[in-house]
Amino acid sequence: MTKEIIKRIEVQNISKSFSADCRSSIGALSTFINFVTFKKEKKDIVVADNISFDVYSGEVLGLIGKNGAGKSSLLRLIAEIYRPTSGKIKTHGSVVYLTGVEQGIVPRLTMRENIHLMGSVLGLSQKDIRKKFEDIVEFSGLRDHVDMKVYQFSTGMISRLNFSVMINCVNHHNPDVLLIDEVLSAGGDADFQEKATQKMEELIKGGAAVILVSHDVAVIKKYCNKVLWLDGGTIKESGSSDVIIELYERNAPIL
Amino acid sequence: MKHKLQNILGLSFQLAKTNFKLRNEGSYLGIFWYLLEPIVSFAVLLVVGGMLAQNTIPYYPIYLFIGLIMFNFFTATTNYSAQTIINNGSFLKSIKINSEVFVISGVMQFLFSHSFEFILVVALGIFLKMNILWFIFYPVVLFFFTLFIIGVSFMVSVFSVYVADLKNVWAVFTRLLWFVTPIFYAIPTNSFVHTISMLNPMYHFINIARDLIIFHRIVEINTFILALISSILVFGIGLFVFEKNKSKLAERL
Repeated sequence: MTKEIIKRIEVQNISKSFSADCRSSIGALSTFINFVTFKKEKKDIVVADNISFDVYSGEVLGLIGKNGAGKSSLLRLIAEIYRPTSGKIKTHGSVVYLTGVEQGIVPRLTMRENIHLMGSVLGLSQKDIRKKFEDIVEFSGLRDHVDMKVYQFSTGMISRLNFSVMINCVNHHNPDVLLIDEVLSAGGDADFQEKATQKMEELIKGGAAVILVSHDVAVIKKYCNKVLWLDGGTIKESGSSDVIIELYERNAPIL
Repeated sequence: MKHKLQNILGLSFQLAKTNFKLRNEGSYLGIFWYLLEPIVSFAVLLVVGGMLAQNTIPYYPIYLFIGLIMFNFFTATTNYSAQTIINNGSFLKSIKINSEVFVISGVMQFLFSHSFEFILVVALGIFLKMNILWFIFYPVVLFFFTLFIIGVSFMVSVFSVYVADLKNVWAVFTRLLWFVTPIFYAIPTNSFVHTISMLNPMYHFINIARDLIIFHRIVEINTFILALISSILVFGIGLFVFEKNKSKLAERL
């Protein structure tokens, strides 16, 4: 390794709880009544409880756990979409957070307009988008459809467009910290899947500090050196991926 | 800081452009649909206003049209803001994005259509053989009016996350405000209603614009300065409320 190893993500004793409203209505009237009567019906949901870990550049950390274990919330905390209730999170360098949501494709716009829109949403300037435009179209393999409206696209074509824009915009940011929430598969046909997986691999192995959330144990095994097993907002086990995954599979057999 | 502001404005502009396009997508008449609504209300109120007894307001069509489009700008923008954060919830949760853009893009979008409506007012002024020169001062009023609207929009958008049906409440409130504000009528001075109107910021903004354009004068300097200061103040408070709360928006959606 010639590259310098830098601590990219520092998570120190963070806790996060949501105050979930248990009222049946949060309308204006009930808000007013509750305010006047000092009534508070709130319940705390703990999604992270005293979690600490570090991730260094070039490391790939896997997060596993059941639904609701706090995996996505933890990523959002690191991406600064949520604020921790207590504790400290520090990230060094540019952070990119990827989720499975098809980020803002507008069906009534053409593919060209969608690329510009999504590019801006993902933080690129118009100049940068123009530069990337050819790459995106090339990668998606939808050159003949650039000026077609997206609502006429098939599901596969939409996945292609979505993935192409995403991967190119992420590459543009040259992330030092990469947070991936279940978006390893690109959709589309086998050809595209292969191309996409290859791109994704390049991205993951590109030297950034990566945190990967997946329910697919095989994926975690393939990419991650370290694994955190989350359960109910706490770290149940952590360590090298082989050991933890074995434990995890024994404990929560996949049906 | 400068970079961030550039980002926000750039993205807001893109979103506003998209929304603008989408609203008349697939229609050859395009921009006409934006203007149809104000033109129709204008025509109806012109007829109604003409029937009001003792209508001595000079250049009544201009008086009416200015009031109408300024109030429309306010209503459309703030009602949009009362829904925009909720509607873009999935965005806010899945991307690290400056949430201001959803409010600012709304303001921009309606500022576009307001500008088109104002061109109509100018055209009407030419038709009525008015002194057009005074229309060029309107952008100054519009600037402060927009600041005021941005401030209100920021506040409304934050509260809409905490109070689920705020958008309904706000819609009713703006409708009431419409009737209280002298848009198609004039309030006689020295009346009780006039005193109450002094508390209505919409009354002042519309009044300043009308005084400029129709009567070629600036309202009493005190009122003018008060309007400017209060618009800056409302903007400041709105921005403050938004910045204070924006980190909590994502988790409440």
